[in-house]
Amino acid sequence: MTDLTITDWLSAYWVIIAMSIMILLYVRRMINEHKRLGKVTAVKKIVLIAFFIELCSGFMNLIFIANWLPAVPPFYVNSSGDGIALDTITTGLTVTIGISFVFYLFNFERLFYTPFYAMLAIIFYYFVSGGHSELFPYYVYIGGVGALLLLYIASFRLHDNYAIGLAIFYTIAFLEVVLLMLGLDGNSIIVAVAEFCAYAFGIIYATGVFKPFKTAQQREKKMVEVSSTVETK
Amino acid sequence: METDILLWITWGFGVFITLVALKPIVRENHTTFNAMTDNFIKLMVVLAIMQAGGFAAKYFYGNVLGFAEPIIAKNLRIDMIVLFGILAVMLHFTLYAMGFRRHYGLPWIWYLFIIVYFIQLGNTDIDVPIMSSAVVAGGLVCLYLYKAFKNRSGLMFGIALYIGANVVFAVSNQYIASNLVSEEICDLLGFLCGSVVLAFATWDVYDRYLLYDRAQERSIKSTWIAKLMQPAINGPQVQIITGLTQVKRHVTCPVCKADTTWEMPKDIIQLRLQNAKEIMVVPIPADTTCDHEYSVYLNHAFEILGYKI
Repeated sequence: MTDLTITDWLSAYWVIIAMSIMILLYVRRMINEHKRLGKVTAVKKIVLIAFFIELCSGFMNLIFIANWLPAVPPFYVNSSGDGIALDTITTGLTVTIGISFVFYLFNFERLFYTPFYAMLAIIFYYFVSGGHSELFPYYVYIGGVGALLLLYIASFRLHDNYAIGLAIFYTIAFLEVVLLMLGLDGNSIIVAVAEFCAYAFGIIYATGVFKPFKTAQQREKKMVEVSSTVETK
Repeated sequence: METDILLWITWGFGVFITLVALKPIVRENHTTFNAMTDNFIKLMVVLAIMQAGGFAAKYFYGNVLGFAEPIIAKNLRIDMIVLFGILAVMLHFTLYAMGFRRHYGLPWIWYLFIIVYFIQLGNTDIDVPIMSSAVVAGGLVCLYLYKAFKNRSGLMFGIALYIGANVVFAVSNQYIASNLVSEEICDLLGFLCGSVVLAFATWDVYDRYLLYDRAQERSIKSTWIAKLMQPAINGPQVQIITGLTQVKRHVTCPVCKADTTWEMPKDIIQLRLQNAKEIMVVPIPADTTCDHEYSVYLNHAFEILGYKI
């Protein structure tokens, strides 16, 4: 990549630092929950996987900015979701995790692994067909927007704090992508603010402070009481 | 003209054989509902519709409308849609039978991948659809043959033969058939042979002559049940012994060695208490430990002395 500014470098490192902090805070919460309840819910595990994929996305960006790998196809495609490359696969995986999360929340057990198979099929098709990836942009854009909307619906229906937090995090990140597609480059103050806000919110979300649904808190409290009652008996 | 009439007569015969194959299994499901049997009936119906419908569509497209295949460029043909659809349906049923509910999307993603491959690429040096279908079909045939011989199940043996027969005729269609008529003959022979092997399975032919005689075992068991129930029907009224309301024993299937804790029904407990001196033979129904039915020898202390297949 050429013509990089200090903003690009700051942005790349900010993503990695923020995601690392988020993962550490989140893992600490999961460990605490495991001590209290004796188990970790599947929702938390899915959210953790989503964070790891986001961290990988940040690393991919840094790899190409720092020229550790050539910023050319098949490694780099320079636009989110238009073709299969190392930098866009993480976007596809993010969408995949989002769709699977939505299926899990809506209890569509039979469709749970379908997005993973779809992503694998798209990548496999890219290699056996000699570079065709026409379905990938549709998968990313339609799947991503659909998953985001359904995540909001599921979180309001189920009053799930984890789902709503993840939905807001992805919404802010998605807005940043939309701004880039509209022509604003990484040096624009708006893009920088959007990126900063997304990961700052992510850190707040990872601490567990963001809990807009009170019923979910009461539900968790009851789970803790029940599990402690069972232990004492 | 004569060829077309013969083709449609063969098609009708295939439909008839399918209905004959369905008859015993529908009757059995009507008397004793079983979710697996119910879904197997649906599987057979879907496969029959796909094969019979595929032939009808191909005949209508090629002979009536006069169009040449592929139906969609570059190389999507009706035979490919039917054959890969059959494999996807069989894979879906296999996932259901093995309890992998979360992976139901796999066969259909694979099917979509194949369809897109045929539309966008057609034939290439590396024939990915044929290779992947060979892997899927081979894996399914091996799995069903293994299960058939392990569990002595004629139904699974029939499914393995069905997949094998369709693969053989699909390969003939792809590499040997040179014109529309020969392709249609291959399709019909695949349909007919598939229906025949499934009919043999549902009519217990493989069980009786190749694997295991369930029909004979059932007839023996029904004789024992009649003998056991005779004293209860003709004898004096016996009250339930309130002190002994639950007896559980660990049972192991003599066929496949699956085991479980079996709770004896109260009528068996009562009969055992009535006939304290005799060794009692008690039938264990299917779905207690596994798909097998067998009997156990019980003594007066409700101890299992042995097993009878």
